[in-house]
Order: sequence, then structure tokens, then C-alpha cells
Amino acid sequence: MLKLTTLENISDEKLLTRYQKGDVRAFGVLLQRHHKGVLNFVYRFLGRPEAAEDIVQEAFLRLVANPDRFERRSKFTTWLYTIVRNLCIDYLRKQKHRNHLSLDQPLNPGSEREVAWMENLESNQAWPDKQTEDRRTGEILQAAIGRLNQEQREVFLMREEAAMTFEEIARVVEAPVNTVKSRMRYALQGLRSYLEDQGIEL
Amino acid sequence: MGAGMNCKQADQYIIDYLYDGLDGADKLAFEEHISSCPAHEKDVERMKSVLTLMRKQPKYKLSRDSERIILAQAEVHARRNPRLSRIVWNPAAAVALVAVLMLTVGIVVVRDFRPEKEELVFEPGKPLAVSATDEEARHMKPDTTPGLEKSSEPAETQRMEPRKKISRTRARKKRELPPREKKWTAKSKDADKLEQDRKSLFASAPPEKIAEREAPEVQITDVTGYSTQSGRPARAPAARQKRPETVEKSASGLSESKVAAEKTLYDPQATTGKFHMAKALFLKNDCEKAVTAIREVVAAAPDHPLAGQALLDQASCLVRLNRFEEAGSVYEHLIKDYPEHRQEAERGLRRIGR
Repeated sequence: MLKLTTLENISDEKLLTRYQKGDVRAFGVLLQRHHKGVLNFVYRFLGRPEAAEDIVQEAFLRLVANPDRFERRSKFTTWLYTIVRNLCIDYLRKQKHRNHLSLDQPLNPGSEREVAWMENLESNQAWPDKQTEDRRTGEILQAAIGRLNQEQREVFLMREEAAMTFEEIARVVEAPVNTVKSRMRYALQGLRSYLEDQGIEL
Repeated sequence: MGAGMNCKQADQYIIDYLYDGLDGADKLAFEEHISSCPAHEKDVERMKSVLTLMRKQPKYKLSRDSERIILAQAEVHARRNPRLSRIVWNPAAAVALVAVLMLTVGIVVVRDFRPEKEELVFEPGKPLAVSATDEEARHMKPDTTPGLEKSSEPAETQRMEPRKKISRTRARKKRELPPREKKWTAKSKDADKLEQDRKSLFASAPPEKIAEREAPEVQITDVTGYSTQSGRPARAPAARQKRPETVEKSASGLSESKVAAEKTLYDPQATTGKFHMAKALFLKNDCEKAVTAIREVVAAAPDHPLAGQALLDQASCLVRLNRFEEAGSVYEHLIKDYPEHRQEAERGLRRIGR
């Protein structure tokens, strides 16, 4: 227990170093620390739960297989989200070719896919109580996120789901910090405008 | 920034303000501006509402299966030489690695090109010829099946023409012959002698011993229920129902007679019920029982419309039980024999890092 507490208090970068030396528990702490942020980022970015799970797994498996590729001068989250973002962009590119569903398409209520996904809800705070209004609002919000352009969407989600700073986001998307902030502003304005059009009171 | 912030400047600072990134003076200036600028005041309030709404949304977490798979892979990689991944960046080591890989691929290719024990040589316009190799060829009598003619060419010559060879099953299909009962009907003189010896021996043995000896040959299957004899999953879809004499034995202790009975008493409705029972176990997360139930029912009815989905469920259960190797075998089996589930099976394989 003492050991675990110690591991949980050390930085991501040091945990990764420990994993490189063969300490799997250090990697376990990293996974626990970041999987939720990554999963929610990918889910909101793509709008598809089944793909989200696959991509998160793929991202962590890449990390597991190549921990040496981490460049010490950057932060662990920057590296992790660079991998995740690239996987998401690849996925969208492939889907574009396959002419799949649009990003803002909500889940089919009651579908097997949705039921499976609901099991992974962190708490019973919203959908499981079948609060129809909240659910509808959630779907409209997801649709609104899906309508943002990719640059605004990724900035908004990295900030909101991954709790990254604008400086970190700027490194991941390889853009100046002020540009990132502008994208964030446009993203919020776009969301607000779409939500109001759909009759959501703000 | 100080006092006197205009709308353009306020636009630049609005995000910093929302995320509490402004220092004292700038924050004061921004607040002064929005108190005198209704448009910006409204903007800020609405943006705050969007953020509040976003933060109220339910959060998701990774499934236990995924977590287990990732941690298992982490363990596998940690056990390996931590310097392994650096080999790629060392030119000399990379060359050596490529050489070893090429050598391995070469060996595999050479092994794959070796002909099977008996094959039919098919040449357009000529009757089919059986190619039997090595010792076996010398002891075989000519097959009496009409239209089949033993090749007089040595086996080595026939190896030179791999493209003209087709498998026995395919050749049989092409010529619309009925499925074979036995692998090879011809017997050598030695075989005749052995048969006589066996009969004379059994004449003096008690009946239960004879029954034991006469029992059909058991095809051993691995724990996932698929044959390991050929190193590949047991059968192609077309061949699923054509081997009533084949008795499979699973590691879970599924008896030969039970499987045989399942096969002969194939009642579609009862079988569908069994598939549903297995599904119920799967949904109940009773993985051990679900794996066994699915294995039994799929062994009895591999062509059932629910068989593919059941195998996917079985693989999921195996993953939950951390039996990744077996899950991998099931996914590979699905890819080979259940093309309608190929995509899901491939995704499953990727998940377990194969």
C-alpha cells in the first residue's frame, strides 16, 4: 500500500522511466491516471464508442511496445495525446474513404452497442437514470461537437476532457498558443450557437 | 493591459479569463470591459454555460477487458529485454535482425512448398493421378476407384509442378465424386498380415477389450475445441457436416459419445435453445461455463446461424479469463471459417495484440 501511494505521487515521466526499467506497476498507475481522459477525448472526437475503445487500446499498446520513443524534453501527456490524435486522424481518414456515418450521428437508443457502452459509465449520474431531457441534451451536445471542424474540436476536447494546458495542446497540434486559444474561442462560439439553435437554454 | 480594454482585446483575453489564466491587472481590466459591454458579457455567460454543460456529461472509463489486455501486454514487454526496441536503431543489429527474419521466412516458405502425403495431380485433359510419396507409395496397391490412376512418375517430378496440383477434396468436388469414407482404401501386404494377426489376437481377448481396441480414432482438439492435429483450425465450412465418424475430444472433458450423440440428434430448435442458454451464461458473465457451453454447442452444430456469434462470445469470455492464446485461436478460427464475422474477429485479434 505504501509502495502504491508512492507510485501515485510521482510524475508521469518518472513512472514511464520506471516502466522502461521493467516496473509494470508504474505503467498500471499511468494507465489508471490517463485512460479516462484519453477514452473520453477519443469518444467525443470520433463520436463512436466502439472505435474509441479500439483506439485507446491501440494507443496504449504502442506506448507499451515503444516506451523508448518518448523524448524526455516533452511531457508524457504531450506524447500520449500526439499518438492518440494521430490514430484518430487516421481513423477519420479511413472512414471518409469508406463513406461511413456522419460524426454527429447519435447512438441508437437501446442498441447493443449502446448498452455495452453504458456499462462503462463511471457513475449513474445521467443516462442510466433515463433522464430523457439530460440524455437529449447530451446527444445534441455531441452532435454540436461533431459539427466543429477538426482543429477546433481537438483543441476543445484536449482542454475539456484531457485537462491539458493550452501550452501542451499547442505542442500536440503544433500550432502557436494564441492560435490554440483562438480555436478554443471559435469552438465555444460554435457550440453555443448550435445548442441555441437546437433549443437548449444556456 | 490595464484599464481601457476594447472589444478586440477582450476577444483575445476571453479564453484566458474563462480558464482563470489572467493575472490581477488584466483580469480587472477584462471585468471592467464586460461590465460596460453587454455583448461580451453575454458571450462570457454563454461560454461558461457551454463549459458547465460539457462538464456535467457522463464520463466513460475503459472496459475491464481492454485494461487487462493492455496490462498483460505491458507485462509481456517488460519481461523482454528492455533494450530490444533499441536494436532497430542500431544499423548492425538491424541488418542482423533482417537476415534472421529472411532466413526464418525462407525456412517457412520451403516447408510450405513440401507436398502433402497424398495429393492428386490434376492436368487438364488427362485423368487424375494420385501422388503418394516416400515409403507409403511403395507399399500401396493401386486405388480401384474408377477414373483414378496411379501416377507412374516419381514423387520428386511431381513436386516440380505445384500449380497443377490440387487437393484431394478439391479434385473430388471438381469431379463431383461422393465424399470418401476412408482416407486410403488400398492396403499393403504388410497391412493384410497385420489385420490377420489382429483378428487372431482379438479372438482370444475378452469382448470389452475388443470394443476398446475397435473404438474410433479420436481426433484430439485443444481447449478451445479446435483440432490441433494439422496445426490449423479443424475444418472449412463446407466440410463441417461431412465427417460423422470424426469424434472430437475437448480438454474440458466433453465425452466422445456426447459429441457423437449431439451430431446425430441434431435438432435445430433444441440447438437454438442451447445457443441461447450459452448466450445467457455469457451475458451473466459466467465465463467458465459460457466457454464450455459454447464449445459444446458449436461442436455439435458448427453451421448453425448463431455459431459465429457464439464463438465471438467465447473469445470475449476467454479474454476476460486472461486466456489470450485460446482467444486468439478462436478469433483465427472465426476469420477462417466464419467470414461474416471476420471484421469483429480481426478487431478482437488486434485487441489482444496479435
